[in-house]
Amino acid sequence: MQCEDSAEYRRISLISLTTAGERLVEDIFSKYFAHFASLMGVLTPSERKNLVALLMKMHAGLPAFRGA
Amino acid sequence: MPRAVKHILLIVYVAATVYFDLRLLRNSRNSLRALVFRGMRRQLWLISPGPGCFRRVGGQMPLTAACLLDRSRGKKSPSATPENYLAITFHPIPKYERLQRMAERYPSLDPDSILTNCIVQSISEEVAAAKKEMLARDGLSEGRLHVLALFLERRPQPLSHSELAYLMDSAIWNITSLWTGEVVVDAM
Repeated sequence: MQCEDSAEYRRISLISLTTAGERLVEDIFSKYFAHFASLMGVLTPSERKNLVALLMKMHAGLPAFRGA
Repeated sequence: MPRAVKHILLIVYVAATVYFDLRLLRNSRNSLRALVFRGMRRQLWLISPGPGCFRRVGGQMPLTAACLLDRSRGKKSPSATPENYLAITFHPIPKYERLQRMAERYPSLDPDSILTNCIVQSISEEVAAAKKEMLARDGLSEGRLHVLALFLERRPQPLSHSELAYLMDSAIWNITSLWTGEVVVDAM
């Protein structure tokens, strides 16, 4: 990360990623997404859709559960 | 009082103090929100959602939600091989027979719905813990990942503290230590 003072307001610090930081973060992200793909890859797209639909159906019953 | 008796009493007092202190320490350690278990084969960094959610299993098979499901149905899971390392189990899944026995006493109890709910909860917690463990290997948390994603999305434009706090939907004082290159967002 690098920190610099704002040209407009000296009290404001602006933060951005350095080139090395960008590279590191991109490496971490690509690794993270690959792991995620392997986790969710066991389900087909239609299975994922069904899973979400079932969970949403369960979620819809939550207010009644809370109110009980 | 003879000197020997005094010494014996002192030793008993010290031993009792150490014993109770160790017990207290063990109990307080269990109630910490962040538990760190050092396995013989791997290290697990898991953040507990609350005290009593995790149970440490030493010298036994690693119990995943799938293993627990098999066990609740009285089957031996093929994936459950005895290995001598520490594993974490989440909310214990009750045995189906036990739920059936309870249903005789409580007619409103539906064993299938209880079991389904326990499995959904257990698997979701296990997936969340695996994600946290994976991020922790790179020194990240979900909050830190979110911050880094914001910086990547907005590049090459820099962000101010207030912009970051707004985008994170958080208070500005939660965004600290950015000057040193370390973003502290764990409290969010």
